[in-house]
Amino acid sequence: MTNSAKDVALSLSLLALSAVWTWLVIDTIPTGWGHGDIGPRAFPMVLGIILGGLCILLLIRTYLLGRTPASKAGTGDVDAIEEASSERWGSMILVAVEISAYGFLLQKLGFLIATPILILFVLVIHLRLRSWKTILGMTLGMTLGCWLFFEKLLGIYLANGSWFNIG
Amino acid sequence: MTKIKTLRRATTGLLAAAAMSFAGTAQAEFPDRPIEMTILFGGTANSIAQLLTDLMSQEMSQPIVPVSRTGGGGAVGYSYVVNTPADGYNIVWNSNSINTGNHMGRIDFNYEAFTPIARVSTEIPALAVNASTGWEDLSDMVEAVQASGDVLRVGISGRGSFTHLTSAALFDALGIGEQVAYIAYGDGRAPVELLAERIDAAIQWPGQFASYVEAGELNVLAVTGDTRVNVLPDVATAMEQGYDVNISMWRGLAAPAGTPDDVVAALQAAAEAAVMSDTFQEASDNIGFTPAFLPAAEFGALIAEDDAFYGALLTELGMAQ
Amino acid sequence: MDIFLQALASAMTPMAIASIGLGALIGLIFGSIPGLTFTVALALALPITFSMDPVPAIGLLLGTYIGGMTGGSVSAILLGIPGTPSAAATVLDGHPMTKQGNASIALGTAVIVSVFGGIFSLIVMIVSVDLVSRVAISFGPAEIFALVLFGLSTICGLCGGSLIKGLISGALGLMIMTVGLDTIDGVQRMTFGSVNMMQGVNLLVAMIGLFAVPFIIEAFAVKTSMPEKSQRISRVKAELPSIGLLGRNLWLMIKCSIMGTGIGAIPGTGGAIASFLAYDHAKRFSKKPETFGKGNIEGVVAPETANNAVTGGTLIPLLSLGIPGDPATAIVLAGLMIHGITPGPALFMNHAGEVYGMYVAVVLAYLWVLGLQLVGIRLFVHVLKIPRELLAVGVLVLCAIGAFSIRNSVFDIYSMGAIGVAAYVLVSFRVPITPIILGMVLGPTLENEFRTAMMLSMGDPEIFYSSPTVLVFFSLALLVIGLQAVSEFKAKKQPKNEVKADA
Repeated sequence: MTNSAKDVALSLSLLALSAVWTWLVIDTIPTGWGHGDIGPRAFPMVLGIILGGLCILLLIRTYLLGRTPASKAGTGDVDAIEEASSERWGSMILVAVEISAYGFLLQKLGFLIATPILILFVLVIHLRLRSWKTILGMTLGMTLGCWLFFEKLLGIYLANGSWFNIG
Repeated sequence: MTKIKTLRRATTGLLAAAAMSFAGTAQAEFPDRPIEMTILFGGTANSIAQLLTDLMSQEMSQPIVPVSRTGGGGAVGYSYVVNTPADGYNIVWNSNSINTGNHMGRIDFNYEAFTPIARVSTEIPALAVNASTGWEDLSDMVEAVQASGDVLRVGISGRGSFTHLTSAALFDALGIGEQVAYIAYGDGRAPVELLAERIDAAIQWPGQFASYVEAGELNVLAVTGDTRVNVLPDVATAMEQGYDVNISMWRGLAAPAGTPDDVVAALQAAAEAAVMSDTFQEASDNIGFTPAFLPAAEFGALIAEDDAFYGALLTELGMAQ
Repeated sequence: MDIFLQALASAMTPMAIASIGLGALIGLIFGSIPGLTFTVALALALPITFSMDPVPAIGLLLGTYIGGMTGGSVSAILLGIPGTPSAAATVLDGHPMTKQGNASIALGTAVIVSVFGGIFSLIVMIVSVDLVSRVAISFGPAEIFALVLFGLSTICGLCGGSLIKGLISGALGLMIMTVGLDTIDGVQRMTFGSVNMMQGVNLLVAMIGLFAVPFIIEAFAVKTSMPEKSQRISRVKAELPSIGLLGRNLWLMIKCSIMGTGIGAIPGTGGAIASFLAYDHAKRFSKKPETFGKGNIEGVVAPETANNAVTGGTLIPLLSLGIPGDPATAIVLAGLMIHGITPGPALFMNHAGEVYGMYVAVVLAYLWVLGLQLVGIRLFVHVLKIPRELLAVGVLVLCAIGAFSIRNSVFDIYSMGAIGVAAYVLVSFRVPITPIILGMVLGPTLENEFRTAMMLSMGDPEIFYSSPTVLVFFSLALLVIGLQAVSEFKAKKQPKNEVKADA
């Protein structure tokens, strides 16, 4: 995608988001009581409208002026993204799955079982590492290290499983 | 810190071992693993809970672990605990929020979803005004407000918050409920807003006002419970001043409904010992709450009674769902 | 003087010094590990102080607070993942410095200016606590609203080439924070009836998601597309900033310290707004504003000085008014109360000894932080030797632990993932994400103060133009936005001359 095509896609999708948001806000949140009570609805509603307005401005600028200023996003390392390759989107989806699955497993199996499963999955399936030393070291090291440091030394509560639990 | 923690662990372990040897062969004795206590709020609620779990752990063969699950006005924590097995290993540090939360539609179950264990403490709200008003007690304020005909701006923590409900009940009893405008603040800002005279009166916890009263900057007109509070011993209750208001916030322990009686009894005994300890009594003066142990049965009756009261009050305020 | 000597004696006992050092260490560790935050560390330290004497107990808490505030810059600089919202501005120039191989200089500068800012604000606090707290009282909802709006206007300086995209990003941040149970009316907003949504999006969870998840995705993506390439973030060296470098920035440090102390003293604002305002200020008055965002040391000096100057500043409303400025100081407040030290105007009459003891404790805490950190930097930089994808695996687990431990809710891990993925998409569409975090930090305050102000005035907007303080902040905000719009307009006239990316 070229930069201006990206901007169009971005503004259109955010425009849709702001429309749905504003509609939901008006539909579900009650207004204030009057007499100076602004009420819980005003802010989200105005913000939705502002977002919509900004998207329209971006759209107009992209179409009318036909140019997009170079703007790099500021998240440290991530500003290295120049072209969104399929690897990047694939990696993004996998990370999303990994995080959700980890959350789910933490709840069901507890930290001590969920963590090695996650790390093994990431290293073997996602990153396709084949060095058994690294895989074993990372899996056991991270799991036991975190468990000893947080749960045992500092007494931070790490999730216990609801299906069954060890530790 | 870690050293102290480890030390405490070791002590707990020793105590546990000792308890076990006394208990002899009774293997299935409750508790045989750590108990989790869900904390619903930060601030004072959290401080008391931390202290309580610490003291209760010393009474039991297994530690009680405080776990903070805040948010949604208590809804998040209550919903978590209500879905855990009724075996006493998940208890909740609850408060009147179980009543108000249900009536305001934040939680879709009511107090009956829990088995009461024990009431632990109460906190009694206090009404403060700026010292420059010259008001010394409730009738001073009522006369001044009625004479001026102005609106009294009253600071509360948020609509439907405990301070809001207390204010509504108090000002109704004073007969000036129509002349009050409620201004919602986050927690803890009330004394400053009073000092700056942006609001005229505020109901908050006495501990927040104590220092200002001592410095002569604020006057506390009344406390809304049926007893005076230790931090402000000179302040008369609303009832002493002839107004029929008796509201205080209780905090206590509860477990999911259906928890066995012997488990409840064991927890109740530990809570009683913790509340009676010197450490707890001393901390209560400092933090500004009143230790008020009440066994399970009476505690249950109190919750039921309160539930009707808050249901009616919220309906009157148009906030019941 | 007697009382001061007594205080000195009580704060200089081995027990007190050790507990302050322990606190500083714990704070540093929690602040510097991505995903973990020092609010969790403070919550952890609180029960331990129950059985201690007042001065060591408070020392432990203050040490943790100060250590955490300083430690937040470590992962911001090394990995581009801020340890606290206050360190989000440090990422902008600190992380580019790491990529240029200057990690240790950035880290060293950060800790030295932090200590400078902290001690400076402590002195201000000791000298003028009474005066400053009177000024703080005069800040009502309308004034705080105006200040926060001014803080939001710094989005303009953070959005690189496109003002519109920066504003879109800021608006998204503001919108996210309206989800959940409304604090003023107790009404559910955009929760879809879910109990988990009622708790809303936690700021810290969102921060972890915004910065750490894109880091993880990117590290994994590069590894899978180029498996043979070994990824290192940069070379490792352990070089400390020179005296000359610090000397050149002395005036900036003083200005940012004043800014941080002032903002910290106003209840309800805190470190993030101070560090962003300081960053914006440094960039605006720099001789080379175009180098900001590419590793300009001034971009590290300004926010780090300011956010530590906030520590002294927040002690003013905390001690003299009993108002905590943020969740972290709320825990310090709880620690004070449990030891019978009730903050408020009577504190200085009743507990002068403890108060002086606290002053000494703050100085000691900063000395510990300085010592520990100067040693620590030599160790921290070795993190950069670890291949990036393995580092990312560690970050993934730590962030999940961090997100979970804030309120022990698995839902927070899911929100971290969702926000992180959304952030990654936005970044790939060239939308800057720092304004999101700014919107999130300031959003709730902005809304609540506005609504409270309107309640106070019974719906009369006059409250927003009758106070000179409010007008000053409004004009400053307008000025910042105006200047940005003008510079963008100029850039538009010369399309070939591309605007330097600097977010």
